[in-house]
Amino acid sequence: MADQDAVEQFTSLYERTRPRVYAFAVSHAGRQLAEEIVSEVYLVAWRRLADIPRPELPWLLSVARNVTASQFRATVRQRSLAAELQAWTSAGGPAAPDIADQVTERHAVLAALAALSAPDRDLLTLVAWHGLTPAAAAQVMGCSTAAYFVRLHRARRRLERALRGRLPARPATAGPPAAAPPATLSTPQEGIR
Amino acid sequence: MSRHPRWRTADHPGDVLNLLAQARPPRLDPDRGTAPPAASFLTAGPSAAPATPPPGGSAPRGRRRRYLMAGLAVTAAAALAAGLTVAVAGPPGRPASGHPGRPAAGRALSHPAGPPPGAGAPAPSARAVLLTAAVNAARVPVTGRYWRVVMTSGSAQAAGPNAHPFAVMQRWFPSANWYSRSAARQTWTLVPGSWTSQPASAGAEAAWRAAGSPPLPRRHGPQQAWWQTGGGVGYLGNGNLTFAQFRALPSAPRRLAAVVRRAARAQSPSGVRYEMFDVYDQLLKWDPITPQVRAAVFRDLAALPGVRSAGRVTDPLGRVGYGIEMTGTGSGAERQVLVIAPGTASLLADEYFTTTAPRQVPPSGARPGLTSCPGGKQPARQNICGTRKIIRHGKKYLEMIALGPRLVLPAGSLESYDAVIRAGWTNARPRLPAASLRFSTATDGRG
Repeated sequence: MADQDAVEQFTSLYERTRPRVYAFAVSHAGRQLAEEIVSEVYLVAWRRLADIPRPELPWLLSVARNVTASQFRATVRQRSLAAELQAWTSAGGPAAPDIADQVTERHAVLAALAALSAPDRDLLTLVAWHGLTPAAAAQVMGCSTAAYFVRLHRARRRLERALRGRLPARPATAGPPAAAPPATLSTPQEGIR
Repeated sequence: MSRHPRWRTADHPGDVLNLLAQARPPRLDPDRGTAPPAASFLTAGPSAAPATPPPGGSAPRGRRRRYLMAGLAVTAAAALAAGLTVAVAGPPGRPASGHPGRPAAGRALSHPAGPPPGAGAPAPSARAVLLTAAVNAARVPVTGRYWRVVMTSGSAQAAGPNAHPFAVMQRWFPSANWYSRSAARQTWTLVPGSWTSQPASAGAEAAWRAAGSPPLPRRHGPQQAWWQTGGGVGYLGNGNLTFAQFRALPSAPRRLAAVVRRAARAQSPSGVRYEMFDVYDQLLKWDPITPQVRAAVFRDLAALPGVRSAGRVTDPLGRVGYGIEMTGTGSGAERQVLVIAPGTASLLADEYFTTTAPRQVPPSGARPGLTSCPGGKQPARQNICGTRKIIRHGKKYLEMIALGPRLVLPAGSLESYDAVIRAGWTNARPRLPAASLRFSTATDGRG
């Protein structure tokens, strides 16, 4: 019963990937549009179920990018994204003293990120937040892996530059212990020599 | 853990991504209780909602009905017109599905480790059953590497040629959850790929014979194994808990109820008491809770308003137990029955029954549905025309438009169930399928 298989395949796909597609939609276009983008992505996924390459996530995220570009007017996208970027740096409110430094730093990083171009933001967040390998991120961005490394390198430098002006000058030893970096980061770092 | 100055790491190209990774905003994750928790499907054809993997956290875990409403609801357009609830007649040979459905009058408790309920003797009250189970729960020893739960699931489906449809009860091969005590070993969910079906009632069986006894829907597929990434092994409300977090749930009166109430609020809007009943059901059915918490679950249930005795019932596997039930609120509410094994603290099964039905219900339990796609289009895939977005209760759903018969169940029919075959601690190891059939959940250990 092929339709049964298709339904199960789709259920499984949806359950495995939805949180990550949603997260990408938020970072790409903001929460205001995220649910809608996710719906559209899975509509496309249902229609093209037999053609989805494995692993599916890069394909789904590239669909999310296309859907966003084609279905929402630029002004709507920009407004949603602007609200999102603002929420990143204003959320949380006053922090407890012991984590205040961390919060300041976090806000600085997010503010720096918000100052970058949309493609730069996607390039960076695909590996830093969405856990993609460079090859998978390249697929989402629609470029070769080699080109992706070059672009990522430049985006990273721009983020550093934007960050320098924002981070508070503090003595080195006063910082909170660094949290262990998420495991997903090892791949891009290994890839970039 | 080095105390290197993190803002300086921006000078090292390798580390700005770490900095960025640590700044990941929580807004990238859906708010609790608002995001569709998981996909669930209901089509009008003989195809069925898979008792989809309850892989530790991300799957419906047998709460098909609820997740259907809360999640990406895929349903036949025809079924939608009559409301989402599709119906089925009681299982064949078991009129009224062995389910008296009458709350028995209050009766003194005390049948700890009592004999199986025999015919003739009056059934004990809900309170008596639950408090007895609470006493028994605290006696269960805890040893072993894994908490293992093996169960089978069933749900009513429409089947047969569109002109002569009938309802079947679909029954999945057993699934197994292996909750690892140690974080060093994975928690696995073994998901069956096969199911069979049989006519769901005497009326359905007659309709099936009248249709020329066509082959009953069945499926044979490989077993899959799912493992949970991120440390969570199961859901409580919409939050993903680790094994240790399940072990650390409070057993004090009120404190467990407070946790459960929060989890219930995160679920869908059938009334918080009914949702609490459901959360308690999930804890009993799946989760690696301590004997003390298990006892507390039974005590809390005994005190929860709206919980009633269903008397002696026979579960979908033919086992006799005491039924404890609660009915949801609102239109299309369902009645949920927990079947508890006499003299133990074991949950034999949970069952969902319809409480309402359309005005005219055919004895076959099914009705002809769409014969062509809206707009005269060809089905995109087999009997499925396509999908469309709908908005219900202010949430967006994806709806599947399917051709073929649709289910129409009389009130009081069994819609779906999970029946526990075995639950307990073990030192055995799961027998996993080939690597190509192992999958990880993409969700992280949030919550």
